[in-house]
Amino acid sequence: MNENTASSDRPDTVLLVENEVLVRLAISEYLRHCGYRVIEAASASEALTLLAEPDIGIDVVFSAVELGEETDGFALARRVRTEWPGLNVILTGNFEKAAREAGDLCEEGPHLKKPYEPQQVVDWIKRLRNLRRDK
Amino acid sequence: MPSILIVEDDPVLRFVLAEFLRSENHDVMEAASADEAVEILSSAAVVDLLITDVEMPGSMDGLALARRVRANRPSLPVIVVSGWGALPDLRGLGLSAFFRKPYDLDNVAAHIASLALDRNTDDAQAGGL
Repeated sequence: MNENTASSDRPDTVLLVENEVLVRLAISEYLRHCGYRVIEAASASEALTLLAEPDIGIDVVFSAVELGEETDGFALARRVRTEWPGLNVILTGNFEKAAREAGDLCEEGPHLKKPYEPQQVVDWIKRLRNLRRDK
Repeated sequence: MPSILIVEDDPVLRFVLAEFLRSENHDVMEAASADEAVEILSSAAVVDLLITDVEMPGSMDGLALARRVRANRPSLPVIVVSGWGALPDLRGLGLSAFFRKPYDLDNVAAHIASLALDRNTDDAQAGGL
């Protein structure tokens, strides 16, 4: 086990765990716009691989509940709380909730402001998905 | 700012390359598989350059993805990276470049700079795959 805490000379680092790539794209972009350093994981196993890297330095785990594999967000959160007890874990049930939680994180975050409203993230995810479904 | 889509199933390698390219002021999107890359390329997101690994889980590998891009978006530059011992068969893919892992990040950045990525090509718009 490593401490895996971020040093103070870089923006707060969020590990975003989301198996829906278009949702991950929009939420990660939003968090970067408000100043976070975002590391993307497409699954719980990817998240655990990144958490085990001592040089990355993660402050917050921001995970969907449904991850499309055996280890879901709840199981990931339990594992994180056991192995990295200093890390905050935020679980989100759907992309609207994820956008709201990301908005809250932006209000608390390094730049102390939202770059735009979370609803715009929701709208962007819907636009991304709608074009895909039209294909 | 041109957008780069990185397709890599190793989350640490993907993070390192993405972080480096962001530090070079590129707009970077990440996909963990070729299937995820197709999702992005078929969406409203705009992609100006694709960088893909070869061996990945899912319905297609990076070479199949490159062939699909070549067929549907012929002007989208594609860079392939691979750690395979044997050189993969890259014939007919019209690649912009091939880098063997472990690649030098500065060489990748220099190549991207040499491409002078231009978003104003006909098929560089969203949803072109």
